[in-house]
Amino acid sequence: MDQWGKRVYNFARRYANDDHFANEVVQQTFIQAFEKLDQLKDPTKLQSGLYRIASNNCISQGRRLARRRQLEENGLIHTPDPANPSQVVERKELRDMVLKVLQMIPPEQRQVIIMKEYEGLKFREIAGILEASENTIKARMYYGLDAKRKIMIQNKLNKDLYYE
Amino acid sequence: MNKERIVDYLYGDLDDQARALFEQELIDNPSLSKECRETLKLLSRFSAR
Repeated sequence: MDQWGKRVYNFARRYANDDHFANEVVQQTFIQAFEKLDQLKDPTKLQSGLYRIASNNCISQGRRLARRRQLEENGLIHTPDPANPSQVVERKELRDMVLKVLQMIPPEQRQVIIMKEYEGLKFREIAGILEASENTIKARMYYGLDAKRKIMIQNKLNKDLYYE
Repeated sequence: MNKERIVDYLYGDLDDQARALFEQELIDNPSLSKECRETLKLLSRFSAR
């Protein structure tokens, strides 16, 4: 299970680029997986089952955070400053830049890119996990990559993408 | 252009005949060709992580 914990963590971490978010998703995912243990006993369904639960949790956790952010912006709640005020978002490293831009892509497209590019799943497997047709998954991949490419070019984040 | 077909090309999932046809389209369509080159470059960024 430790192996699956890491995979779910990495998936959620890449989805939101946030450790706390990822830990919350892992916790929620395993609580829900435990409740569905009967359905996940079949090893062939474990991977798709866990990813499906994790995907749903990423979306719901993302919504919760967005609502919280909205409340903070409206001054309705206040979050204390982090203990370390010098903490800043990591930048410059290629990996961080790629992850950052990933956060700007719609969730449905982001999930597909992470599953394909980071988790190494096949389009057929992703289609099974997300309960969509393979063509739908490929279309999401296309639109996700297209959005990412345009964001990087617009923000001049990667000179190598220029050819002319 | 069929989006799924572009993805199949990018991931090397087209058979020989389909790939040859697609590559002819790339020659005929410079903007599609540019888009594919840029996207392949972007995909290489993932593997560079």
